Amino acid sequence: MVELDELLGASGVLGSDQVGDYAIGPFVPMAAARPADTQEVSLVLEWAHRNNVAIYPVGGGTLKHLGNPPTRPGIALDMSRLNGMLDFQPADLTVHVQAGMTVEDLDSALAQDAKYVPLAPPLPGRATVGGTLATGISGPLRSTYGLPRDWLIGMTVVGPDGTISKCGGQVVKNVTGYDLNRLYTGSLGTLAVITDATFKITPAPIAWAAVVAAFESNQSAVSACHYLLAQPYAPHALHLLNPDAVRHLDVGQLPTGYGPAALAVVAGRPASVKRRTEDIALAWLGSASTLRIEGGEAIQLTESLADFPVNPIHPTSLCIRINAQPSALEQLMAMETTEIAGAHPAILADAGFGGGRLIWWNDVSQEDPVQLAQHLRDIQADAVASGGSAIVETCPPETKALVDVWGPDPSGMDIMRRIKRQFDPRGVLNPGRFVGGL
Amino acid sequence: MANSDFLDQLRAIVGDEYVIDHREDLLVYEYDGSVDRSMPRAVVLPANTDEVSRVMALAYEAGITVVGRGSGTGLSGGAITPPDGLQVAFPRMNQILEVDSVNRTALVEPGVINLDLDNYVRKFGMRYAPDPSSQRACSLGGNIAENAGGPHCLAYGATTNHVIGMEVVLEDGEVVYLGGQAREATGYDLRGAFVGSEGTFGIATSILVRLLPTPESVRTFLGIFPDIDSACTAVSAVIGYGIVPAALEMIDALSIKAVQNVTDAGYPNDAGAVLLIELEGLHEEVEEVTRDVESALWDTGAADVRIAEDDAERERLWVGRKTAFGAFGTIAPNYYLVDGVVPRTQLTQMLRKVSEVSERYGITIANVFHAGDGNLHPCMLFDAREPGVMESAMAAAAELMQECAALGGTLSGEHGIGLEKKEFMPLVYEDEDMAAMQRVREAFAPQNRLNPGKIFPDGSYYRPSPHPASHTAALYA
Repeated sequence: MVELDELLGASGVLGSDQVGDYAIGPFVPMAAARPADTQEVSLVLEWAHRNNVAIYPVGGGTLKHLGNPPTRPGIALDMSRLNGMLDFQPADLTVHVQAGMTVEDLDSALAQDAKYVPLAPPLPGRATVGGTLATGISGPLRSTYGLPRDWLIGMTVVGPDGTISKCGGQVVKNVTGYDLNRLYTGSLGTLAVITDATFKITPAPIAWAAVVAAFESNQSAVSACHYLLAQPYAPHALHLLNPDAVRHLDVGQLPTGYGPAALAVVAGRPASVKRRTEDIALAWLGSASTLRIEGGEAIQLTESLADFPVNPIHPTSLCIRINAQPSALEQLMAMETTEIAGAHPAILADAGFGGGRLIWWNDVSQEDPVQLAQHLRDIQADAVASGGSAIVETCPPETKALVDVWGPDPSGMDIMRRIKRQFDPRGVLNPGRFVGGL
Repeated sequence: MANSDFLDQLRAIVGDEYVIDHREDLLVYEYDGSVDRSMPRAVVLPANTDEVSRVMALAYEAGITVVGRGSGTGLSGGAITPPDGLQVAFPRMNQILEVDSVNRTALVEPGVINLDLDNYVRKFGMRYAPDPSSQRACSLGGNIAENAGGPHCLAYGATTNHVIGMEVVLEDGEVVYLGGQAREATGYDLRGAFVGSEGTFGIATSILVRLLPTPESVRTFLGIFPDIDSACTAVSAVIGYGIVPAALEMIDALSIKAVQNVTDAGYPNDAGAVLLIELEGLHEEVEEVTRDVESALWDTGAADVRIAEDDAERERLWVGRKTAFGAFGTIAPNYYLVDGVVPRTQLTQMLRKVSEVSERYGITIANVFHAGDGNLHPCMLFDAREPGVMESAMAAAAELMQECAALGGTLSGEHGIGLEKKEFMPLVYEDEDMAAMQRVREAFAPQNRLNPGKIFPDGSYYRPSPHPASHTAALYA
């Protein structure tokens, strides 16, 4: 690593005795590079390419467990020093930031001018902009505000040989050339390393509120959700939680002791928030119990929803993300009877967007890894059969070694393999960790 | 393979009447909405995915280039086919296959007309949001290829934000599904990469689109301004009030005159510019924002602010906007529309440049465009029979593109690059940027048989010509 020291200076490189924080499950990188800018990222990648060393990019590390185990020795590429604001144009409704900036810092900077970009990853105090884009993670308002990729308008990335390139631009509407923003988003750092990103932004909602209702059964909760989503006053987010999830969500006054709870979040101008909240509460009059939450508490509740899948996260717990159509909501809720290591999952379903998460916070490593892996494959196969997919976001390492966390190869896998070969022929970027072993 | 053998095999796949190869029948397929022309070797009209796949496989084997065509309304030459190429068009694949109210989606064939889809799903209380000005004619397949926009993209995003998944046929005839049934799929976002790839990655044969609920309330404003500068200031003021309207369009004096020549849209003849602003949402929401919109317009020097009284008046205001390009025919026989984008705050600067270029080249330029997202459409009006005028228009367009790039903007907001702008790509992208794009094309279409010669500069096809007719001849020379 001597040469790497020369490239970045001693403070820019951490040796093997200092890399514990960068461990990906049982995998520990040989060293960690901490570049200060895009140019240094390029130097590191060029060095790694020349020496055929694998690179494991990391932002805030909140989702570094996501993906299959690394397949080659390599170094961690810590992007957290690239944390600057490059440009903020409130009147143009655009912001340009370095990839290592935390989402919380971005949010605070925008809030000073009453602006907003709905990235909303879990743990925004640590999660970075680049990490959010690379993992393709999205927040609880995704059904109406869209995914991070929908707000992204430009990027600078560094390819595996150190080549710096840009895609998109600084304007909110752009069809000049292919849309590589979307290709890089959610590619888990397997095609290039993101060093900065430009977003379109929006005026910040002035008011927030939430309505929570407890229901007697999944069936009644599901039909209440479908009904609400078809109304003009539909909320901006609508989530359905089973009783275990209700207990886990750290908001004291949520009704417990019933069946599932539906949670509607609304945001916007005061008159609109008031009307939506009132109409939603009215629509839910027939439910077992309703509760209205205003202002800061509603924001907090929304943040808790975002943090839900990783707060807390143990290496021995199990978290499965289900991608599914909204119409599959009842089947998703019915998965609460799935027993693993003697326990049932907490379920947080996004009724508006479709899909959700199943989480076992108990120690699932007690389960035989071979049997657990088979169980997970069955869940993945079922999800695919109904037009979606199931991604194992967290599971014990012994099990992870036996299952592809992304599930069966998706349609278009050949094209994905060709893309990977085109961009990273030597397989140095996050090798083995993505779909189909990419 | 001899051409006659190739055509015979095509006929065997789709039926005799669905292969067009007579010169006079091919005339309507030699152009699109752009200034370029080229007559394809033949046009084939498949009926289903299987036929598309077999046609593509046949062309692939024969080494023949394939170009997909929607309704031919594209403005960047996306459907222009080289003389030895085969054009695949979709008038027979025009069915709305399914509307799903619970998932709020529709499954459509590529030949479905944009407005037909929107009108159909409104029966179910939903809408298809992207609304290009050509929406009465343009097809969903073409919309996907170009990542089409429209006035309401300001609030709802362009086509790519509304496509969940697609069945596509690759250059060798392989059929692949991109994206998912669910809103998110695993793996690289091939769906996102495909939308806007201008027909170079594959041909979509069925498309799953996202629908939105129709709004409870819609209010349309006409802000009347003495000049274009004050209208630009008003655009910034509206955004400054924390409002992102559903649509925010600008129409300048010349465009008003053209529109009023053909239809009474209710635009005042003596205005320097008008803003067409639409709010959507709950009644209360629209009511609350109305006050801010009115303030923003009056504060920035509006001569008058009108609100459409009813659906009929609202419709009339929009018909004016959407027929503007046709109405330019009352001013000059030919027009050339340049699609460019600048940051919203640079609109005033950019429009001054448009005006300066217009004077210097002696070409009339009308402006009717998506002001809310900085997407300009300076439209040059001329008589192409005048010697040298076409060259002047092209040179003026080049200057405008350079200015967009210099102001931090880009070459196209919604029309695509195609043939029209490919030589200008270096204004906004370095070689490395374009090399990354080419890698994706290599992965989708390794033989580059689909719509080749588009998007990327190669210096070979693009030849500005003094006259549209001879311009055509030069195109693929």
